[in-house]
Amino acid sequence: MDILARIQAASITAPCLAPQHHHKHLQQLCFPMSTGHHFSCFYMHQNHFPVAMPGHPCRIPSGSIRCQSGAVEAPEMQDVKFSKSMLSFDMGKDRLSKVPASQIRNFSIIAHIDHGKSTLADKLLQVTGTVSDREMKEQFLDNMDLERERGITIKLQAARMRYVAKDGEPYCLNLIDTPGHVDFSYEVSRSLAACEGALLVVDASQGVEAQTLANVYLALENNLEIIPVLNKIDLPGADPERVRNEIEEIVGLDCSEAIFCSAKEEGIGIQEILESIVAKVPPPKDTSMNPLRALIFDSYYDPYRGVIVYFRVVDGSIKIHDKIQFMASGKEYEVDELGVLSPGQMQVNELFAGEVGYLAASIRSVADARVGDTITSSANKAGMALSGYQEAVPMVFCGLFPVDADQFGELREALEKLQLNDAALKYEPESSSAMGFGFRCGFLGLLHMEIVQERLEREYGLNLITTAPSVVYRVQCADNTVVECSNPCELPEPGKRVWIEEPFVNIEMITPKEYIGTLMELAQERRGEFKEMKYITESRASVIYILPLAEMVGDFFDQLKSRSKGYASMEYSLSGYRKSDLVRLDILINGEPMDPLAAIVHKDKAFAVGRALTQKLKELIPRQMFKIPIQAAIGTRVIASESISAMRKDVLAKCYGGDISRKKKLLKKQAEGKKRMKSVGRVEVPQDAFMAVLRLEKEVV
Amino acid sequence: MKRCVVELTSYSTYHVSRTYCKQNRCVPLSQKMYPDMRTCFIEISYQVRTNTVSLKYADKRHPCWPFQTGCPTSGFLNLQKRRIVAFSCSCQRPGGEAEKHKQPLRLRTDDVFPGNNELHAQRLERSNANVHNSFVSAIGPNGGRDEQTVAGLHNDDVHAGNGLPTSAYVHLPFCKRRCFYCDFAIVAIGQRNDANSTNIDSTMGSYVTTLCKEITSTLSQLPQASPLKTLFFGGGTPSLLPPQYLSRIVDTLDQHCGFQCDAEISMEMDPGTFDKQTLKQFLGLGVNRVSLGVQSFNEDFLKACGRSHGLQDVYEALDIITGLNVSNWSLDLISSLPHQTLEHWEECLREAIGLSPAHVSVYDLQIEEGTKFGVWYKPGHHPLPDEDKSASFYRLASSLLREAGYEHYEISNYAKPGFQCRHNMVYWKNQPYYGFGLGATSYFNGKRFSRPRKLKGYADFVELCINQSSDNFSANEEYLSFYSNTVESVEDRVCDTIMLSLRLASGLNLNELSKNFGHELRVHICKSFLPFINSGHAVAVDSKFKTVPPDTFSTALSEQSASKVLKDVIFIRLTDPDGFLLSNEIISSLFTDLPIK
Repeated sequence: MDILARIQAASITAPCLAPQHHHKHLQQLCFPMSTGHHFSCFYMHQNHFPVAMPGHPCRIPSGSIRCQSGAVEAPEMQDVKFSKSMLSFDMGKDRLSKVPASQIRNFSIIAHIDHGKSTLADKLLQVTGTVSDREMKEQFLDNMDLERERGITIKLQAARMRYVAKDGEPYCLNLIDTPGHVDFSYEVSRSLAACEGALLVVDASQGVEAQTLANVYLALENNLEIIPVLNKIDLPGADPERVRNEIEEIVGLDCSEAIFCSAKEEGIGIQEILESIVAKVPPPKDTSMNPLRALIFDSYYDPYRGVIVYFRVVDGSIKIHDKIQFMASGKEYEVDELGVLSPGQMQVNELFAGEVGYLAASIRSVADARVGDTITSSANKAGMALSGYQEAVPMVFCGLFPVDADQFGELREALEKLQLNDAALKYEPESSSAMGFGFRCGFLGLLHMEIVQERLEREYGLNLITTAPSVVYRVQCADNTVVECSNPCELPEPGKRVWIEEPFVNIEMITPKEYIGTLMELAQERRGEFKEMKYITESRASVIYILPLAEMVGDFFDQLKSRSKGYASMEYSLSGYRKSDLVRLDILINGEPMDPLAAIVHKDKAFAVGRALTQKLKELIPRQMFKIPIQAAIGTRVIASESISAMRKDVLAKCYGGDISRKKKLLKKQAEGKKRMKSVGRVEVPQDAFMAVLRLEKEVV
Repeated sequence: MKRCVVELTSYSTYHVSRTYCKQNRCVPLSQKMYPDMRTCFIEISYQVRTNTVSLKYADKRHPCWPFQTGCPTSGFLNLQKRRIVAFSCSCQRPGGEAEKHKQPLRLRTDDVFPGNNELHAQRLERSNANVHNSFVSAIGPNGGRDEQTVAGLHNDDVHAGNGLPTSAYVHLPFCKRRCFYCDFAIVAIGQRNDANSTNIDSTMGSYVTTLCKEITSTLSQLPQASPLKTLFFGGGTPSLLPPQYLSRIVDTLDQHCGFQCDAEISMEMDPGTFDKQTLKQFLGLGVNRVSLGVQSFNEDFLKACGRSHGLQDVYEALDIITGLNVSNWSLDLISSLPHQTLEHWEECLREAIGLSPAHVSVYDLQIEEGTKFGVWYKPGHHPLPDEDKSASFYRLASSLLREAGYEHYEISNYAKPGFQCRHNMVYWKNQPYYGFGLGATSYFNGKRFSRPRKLKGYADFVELCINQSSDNFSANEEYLSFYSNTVESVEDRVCDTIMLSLRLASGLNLNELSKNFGHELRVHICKSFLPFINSGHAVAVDSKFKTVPPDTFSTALSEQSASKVLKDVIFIRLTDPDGFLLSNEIISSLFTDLPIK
């Protein structure tokens, strides 16, 4: 399966990755203040104003000191008044209005891929009037082109909605979108930590999947109020009763009040969902008087304004021009711009405990404002950071090389730019005789890797070769030191190492029972160690294995999907390092080792891998003027060998009526092809042969 | 009438014939020749009283000659101190009396140099010396196989002249049908019958009119067009064109540039498209070389290729050709056809050899996009022969034809001594040539240009040419630069030189290379050649016509004295058949290595 398809299949939301183009959504909006007495006009700007426009004094709603500060007004519009009738006329546009903390509801939606999370989010935005029908593009929250094109969410976002509940009170609902892929489980957990409740969306025909479970557990860990929603109930195959039981059995949630819904078309149950959020999700605690603590749940880099930080105010309040500090990185900044997401960025002057918003403070890199970090006030520092912060630790590594050596500089610049926006991305220069100069890059996981590659190629116009992904091995050396190694070429010599440890993961697969056998076979092939199996319903089971991470980073997920005809799902978590019998497999062409194809593999698999790679290379390397041996070797021992016979004929017989240009074009094209080939000793290896073998390696290693 | 045999002195060009080139020595065949008449004996009769001259050819290999003796001249012959400096004379074409076209064919041996005869004599002397040298050095490139061809050498080089082409390609695109492998610019007109005859004639007529317009417009803008040494009617199927149309073309060319007296006029002909009378008429128009598109001596293969003719047509055509004593005729064959076996191919080659053509072209089937074959077959896959088999076809052709006395003078061309296609040599030697007609390519003024491949596009192009040529010169330049590419860059010229000369058995002339592009490039190219010389795909030849052993060559390259030793290496050529077979690979490697900024 190719990368695009994989991303699609994995389909997942990942944070910290995309620059967003909010300006697309900026617009002039008019809205009344919630108290209904004062209407101001809110002007949205395409670009950041270095200093925010003159703030409007905060109007304190009766009976509460917790309030939304007045929105920034365009001076020329200051005196414009609107009649109250406009409130009902265009209720969605009240969403910036001040709301007491007791009327704020922060929630997210958790779902397995394709269970309709994005569609439901769209519907909520539409029904609450946050986005007008005219503005409504499908999947409004997925605003990266890449996401929209593939119908998946990579980048998480937030949206503030105003909803007047049946009790007549206006509520401020903050939807915090979560990335769904396990690569980003840390980011998911931070997003969930910014909420008090979550909608658990389950496809009424598909039932509970692995990702559903993983997300539910994360939500439970964060003490979230979970509202079960059975989606797509109008589909012919829907069986909400069965799925309701499944949720109760597997997740242990009381589903007696589960909401039946269909987010498509007219929308069924949307109103109920909104009411249920208001009724069930607890309001944030009113801690406005405490020193500021705000949890960063996302950030991205904007070339004009620096890093844009998405946060949830947990304690205290934050005002424009406040001096703030990021507690983990220790960096201090002054807030240049403060606002809420609705879903476009709309500037405000102050945000209070319980609210969700964004800020810009000319922050140079997302590494200074990492997800999970706590924002506090420089003047009035909080005693303790919010818990749960983790440094990003890359789990998967691969080499990235430009196809055209001239693009090395561009690749470096692109990585620098991406890193501004992606604190989890690590890279260092690497060079190889066959591939020239490139970078060894570290990623959170496979999807992260694929997305980065994809973005480098798509947004930066780079043409890349990627080596097979590798994990971080721990090598116990004879001199009693431990070396961490992710690059096969840097593996210490066999004589110098005592043993090698590799990371293992706990993997949970949920599958219809008829695929249990085939999935166990798959896990077994991948050196999996069976741990546990339980039937979650009569027809579906959860199978748990311990598996080397290296076996997971290949095509495991693709295999799982194809062998279960798409019905099985999986989740994994790291379980630590274990000793394994690993060797370095070298591929030699005409006696010359091809560094990029070297791999660390389990001893038992070396033979099969070696044979597959040599055969593929034989297929792909064009005949040359001499015979070429292709070998796979462990140390000096050749374990597989093929050879390419010498070329016999390559001649253009006819010259078409003196059409020399045409002939020359062909020869020049051939010469160009040679330039693009990578020389391994005397042998010219076409770029695509490299790529194909690397792809194969990803599958077989 | 006084019969005077002109004696040529040291500055004359020697006729070079293999027969006389034994043991690396070049013996002039005769000094009683005019410089440009390489393949013929000639007697010049000069009548002092009337100051008229007549020419007589004595070459039996050219049955379409002689131009009749006793033609009146226009008196341009200058004989000074018994030297021919330059002359131009008129004479009638053979069978002229019987023809409607009585217009005299101008035969101009060279540009008429104004005034200074001494100067011209010097020029001739210089250029002759060059030819002699390059000839001598071309001898014996096979090291030890001296009898082998001195392929590739022709004193066509002599006439650098004013840099204008002395060769022309004329494209006659009409075919009965399109062969399944063909992606040429052709116009299929179907089988001629009573119903469509008028239509065909009008299509052809208007094409020829356009073509003649192009010729006129191109040549009339030139200050003075040189007379042609070679003319090639390619197609399409030129033999489908009624002789009266061909005559219009020949006349137009004659009018604007004329022909040299020994001009080679080739015509591609397909079996089943001409009868004896037609060929006779073609010959009467000056055609003196016939290239017969046989392609295969197997009925099934002819059908499988979509040829419009059968085997019977082939033999009939051969009868016509030999019946008219056309000795300079060539035969085209295609190898690597679908389902072809080595046995089939050998049969085909033996049949061809048995017919004893003067020249054989062997083309390896290329599967082109947009052709039927392109749709049906995939190169290297059944039913096409695989690479190994296809290579063995090539080897077989090379060995059988050489055994039969043919020189393998170019990758896909074989000729009996003295019968190399002079027109095609112009291409390989990277010399300028005109191109006229649909899809034709030309190379002059340092520019290569391909004409539109569709009738309508071509007609528009010619219209534009005419309009432009009536305007001033710079506008025309602008037009040309819009339509064609710019003057070939140095890189392009280097590439052209390499790819073209390596097609020839004589190979790449390193002296010329350093003369044109500098000594550094010579050393560089030698280095690039090293692996191929080591592997036996190429051979270096020194000034004594000896093969330089690979060891010596590689040592020389690695030493300080590299440039001295390399000076001694005059030619590098590809070996036959090993080097020829991998020529693309070798040439493209050389391209890759070129030190281009």
